[in-house]
Amino acid sequence: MGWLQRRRARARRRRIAEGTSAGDAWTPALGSGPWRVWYAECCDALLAFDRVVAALPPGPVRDGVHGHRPSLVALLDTARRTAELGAFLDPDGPGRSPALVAALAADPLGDLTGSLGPSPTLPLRDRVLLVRAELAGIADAAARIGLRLHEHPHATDVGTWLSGLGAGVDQAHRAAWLPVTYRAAGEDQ
Amino acid sequence: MTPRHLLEVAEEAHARYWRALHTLVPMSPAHRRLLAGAPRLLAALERAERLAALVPTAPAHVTAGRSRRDPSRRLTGRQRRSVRDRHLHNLGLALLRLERAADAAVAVAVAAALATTARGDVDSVVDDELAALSAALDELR
Repeated sequence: MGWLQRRRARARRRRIAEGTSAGDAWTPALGSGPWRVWYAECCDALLAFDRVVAALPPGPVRDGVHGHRPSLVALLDTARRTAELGAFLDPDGPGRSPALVAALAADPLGDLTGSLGPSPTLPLRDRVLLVRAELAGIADAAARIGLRLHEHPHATDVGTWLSGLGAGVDQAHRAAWLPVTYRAAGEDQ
Repeated sequence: MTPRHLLEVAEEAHARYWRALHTLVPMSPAHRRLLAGAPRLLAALERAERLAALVPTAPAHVTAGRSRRDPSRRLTGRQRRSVRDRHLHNLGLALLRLERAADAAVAVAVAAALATTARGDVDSVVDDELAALSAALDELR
């Protein structure tokens, strides 16, 4: 890899890091279809987590909860990659296009729509929705920690709460793992 | 649904195949397999274009139920259809095959992107989808 490619790869990584750390639903541009909506909901879950962290009183609990944020940004990056792939392969979502269904149904010798299988991009939709559910669950767990801390300011089992949150983050990472073989061209493997 | 609409759907299937091809790592086995199948898809698209050009001028009347050469022989249900209907049906079948090939290519790209197990299993998942792609491309012959 030459210096020009390395420089482009660095610039691309920097752009991706800036985009994902901000949690902006409009970056990257995913069109106006369902992929953008699902990715935006993932961003909403991360923003909900940020609101919970901002509402926590300063201290070790807040630092402990905030320490999981880089993992959540990585999860959001997984959702971004999956949504980008889905929007590239099927811009209108995993459903069959109405023009195709109408064309096959209008066959003079019989309806051909039964010969089509399910849309191949359904697994991508399931993966984005899984990441969305995991992010929302982690934001809920963080909110529960904040509520408990508010009700019991002198609780001694805060470490248990935080380890439970960490286990949830680990489980989300395992569920939403994406192999490195299919990173976008130009990025480091 | 006019032949022009059918052709637009066929062209969209062809474009989906190429988009799936572009998501794969260049010169990977899956990429090479999809690249090798692309001319067959193009040939199927050209056949669909020829059929679409034939439809408007094809006779639309329904033929008699008996063969002209041998009146004692009854025609099959398909033979009794008008030529235009048969062209339209063949166009629909070509469209279906193109769509299946594009689906198989997209399935290869999705399987490669989503395989969540070890490296060896990733290859086996993609291999399964590549076998399905080969079957779909064989239908295009």
